[in-house]
Amino acid sequence: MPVNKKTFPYLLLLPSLLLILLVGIYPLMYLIQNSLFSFTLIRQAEKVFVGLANYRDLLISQQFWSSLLITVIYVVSSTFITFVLGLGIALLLNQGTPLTRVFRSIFLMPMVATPVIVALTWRHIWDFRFGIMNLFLSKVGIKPLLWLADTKLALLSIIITDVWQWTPFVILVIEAGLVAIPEYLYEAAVVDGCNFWKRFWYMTVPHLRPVIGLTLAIRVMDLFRNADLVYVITSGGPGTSTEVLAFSVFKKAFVIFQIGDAAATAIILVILTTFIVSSLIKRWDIEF
Amino acid sequence: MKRTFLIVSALSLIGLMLLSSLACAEETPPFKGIEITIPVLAGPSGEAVKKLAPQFEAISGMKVNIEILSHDELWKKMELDAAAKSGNFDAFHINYFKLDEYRNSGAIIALDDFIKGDVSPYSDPKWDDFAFALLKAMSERDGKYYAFPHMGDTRLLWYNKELFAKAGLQNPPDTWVEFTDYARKMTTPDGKQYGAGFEWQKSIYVLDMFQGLLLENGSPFFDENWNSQMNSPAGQASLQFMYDTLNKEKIVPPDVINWGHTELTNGIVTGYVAMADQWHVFIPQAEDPSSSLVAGKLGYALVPGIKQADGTILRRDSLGTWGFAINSASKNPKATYAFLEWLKSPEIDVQYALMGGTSTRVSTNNDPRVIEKFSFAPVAAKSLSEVVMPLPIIPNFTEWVEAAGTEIHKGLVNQLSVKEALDGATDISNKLMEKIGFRKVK
Repeated sequence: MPVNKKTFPYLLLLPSLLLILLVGIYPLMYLIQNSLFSFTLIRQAEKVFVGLANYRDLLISQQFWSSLLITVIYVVSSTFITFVLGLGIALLLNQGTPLTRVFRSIFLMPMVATPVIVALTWRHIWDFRFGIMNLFLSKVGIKPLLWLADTKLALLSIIITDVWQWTPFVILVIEAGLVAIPEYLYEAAVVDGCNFWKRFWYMTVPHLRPVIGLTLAIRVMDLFRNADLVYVITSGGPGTSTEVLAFSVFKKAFVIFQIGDAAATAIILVILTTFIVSSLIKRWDIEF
Repeated sequence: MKRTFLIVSALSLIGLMLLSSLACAEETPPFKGIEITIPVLAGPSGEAVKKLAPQFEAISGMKVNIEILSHDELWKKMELDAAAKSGNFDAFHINYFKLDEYRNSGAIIALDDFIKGDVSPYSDPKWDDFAFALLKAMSERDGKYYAFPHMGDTRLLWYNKELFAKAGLQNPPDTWVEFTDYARKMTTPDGKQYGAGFEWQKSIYVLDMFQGLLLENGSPFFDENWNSQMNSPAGQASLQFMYDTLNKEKIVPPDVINWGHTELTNGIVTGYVAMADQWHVFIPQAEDPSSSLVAGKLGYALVPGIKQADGTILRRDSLGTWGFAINSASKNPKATYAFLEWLKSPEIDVQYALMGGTSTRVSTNNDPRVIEKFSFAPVAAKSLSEVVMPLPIIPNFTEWVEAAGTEIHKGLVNQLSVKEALDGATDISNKLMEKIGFRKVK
């Protein structure tokens, strides 16, 4: 059977579309459907259609808004610190010193470690009694801190852990962007008398713009859905001081097994992440 | 004559052969060729079950796969199995507060037909030998049995006799007032040793302790109409005691709010804390010189209580019990029952206890062999029969524990005041009781 020239491209796209439908669209539809019901995993036969009640309950619950605030603090702080550190280190590495390769390998190590192993390791590092963080503090005459047992410090501990693991990702992407900027532009700028800051601000940043946007978008997405660090290090405690939304979804789905409630929280998380990431993509002119 | 002799001999031989073949048929194990899989919570009790299973395989011809799983992994796998009715597990290893959820959803079956049908040739279950409170909480619903009570855990007061002697103390404290006083004496200002330790992680950990105090102060979690009593004067006194112990007396390590089973056991086996309100299932670990610095130096007593108006001391604590229930999707329910009945039979239960498993049988906990090996067994038996109480058995137990336990935790860690935390816990509890139709709104 002859294939129409117009339909042929669509036929080629079909396998990919089917795959996206299967692994992306169907689960999302299923999630939306579940969010309209009230049921536990084990009692699916007693599924009750509740419409938007799960969303209503969520939006009037104090815990949801508290988790949202914690999530925003976590995402903004961690993204900001990883970005500033990553950019700085990438600029240093880009100077092309003889030890660049060695440093690059060292800096990339945390990123290749398994997240759960990272979380477990850092839980020990933050330990009040045996942790090396308090050991260092005691060496300089500071009293040990309750890193994971103080409501004011627990989130900070998680942010530091995340920064340690994911700054290398920012270094990697920004460095790739820096390498792509033609060297002659800098040479011309030097001849024209531009100092380091002017070169950075008027040449490096505009050239890195899409890379920075992409890095920020990936980091934000990553942080919004990050439940593993919180699960392993604090389980959302002390109290609810580290209960980010992603952990809240996990807890509802796999601890309490309230699937409808978990699905509604997940949908809100998806909407929130999509909205912020879309804004970032638009703001930073990222082209795909 | 010769012919008659030959005929008689031949007939005798045939008769003998027939008899021997019948005898062989009787010896053929009834469950030969059947394979069952049972998940078990990791720990000394789980290890004991795994070690015992080959004995049953030898007499029954059955293949018994024991899958030891960590707490979270166990629940995830069981919930998925129950939801999908896949029957990957022939039995579920559940705790008493999950029994109703599994029963109401049809995930497990009543054992009564098997009990009446006498399907197992290997043992007599002796149901009346299970500790009454455990059987009530873990198995009996509407006059039927749904699970074999398997692990019977109670918290005891573990105390370091060496540190007691150094502080000039002899006997374990009887009341919480004495407890605080003793703990002050054994807490050093440099933070290297604390008088006491608890597992005050959020959710069920902190709620277990809170329930004991609440009952000792004269109130259950709910009144007869399912109104929460958490912010009652009894609740206030209970949480205030916990708060003061941590924040004012400072007789417990300051990170005790993150402590669970492992951290508390580590605290006492390293001599960091002098007393601990800890589950007795972990005692074998504390008495093992290869993993404990205080092996042989620990004493075990009933948890302290509160002196009542008549001078008696009321001691209460939460119950911890797990049991085996048969999966309704199991392809071999009879064989599974036979194994579980054998496993929980009195004689095998003694072997299980000698391997470090915590028994639910009165006879086992008072067995001379068990007492000789584990001196704490009679104290544990006394606690199981006189001190422990289950947490409220409600259909949405996990949701309630998670929510109420988190609110209580907020009060302990200064995220809320004691009163605000108790009001929050009461509000959440009342709403959840309304949701399941237990509490009627006026």
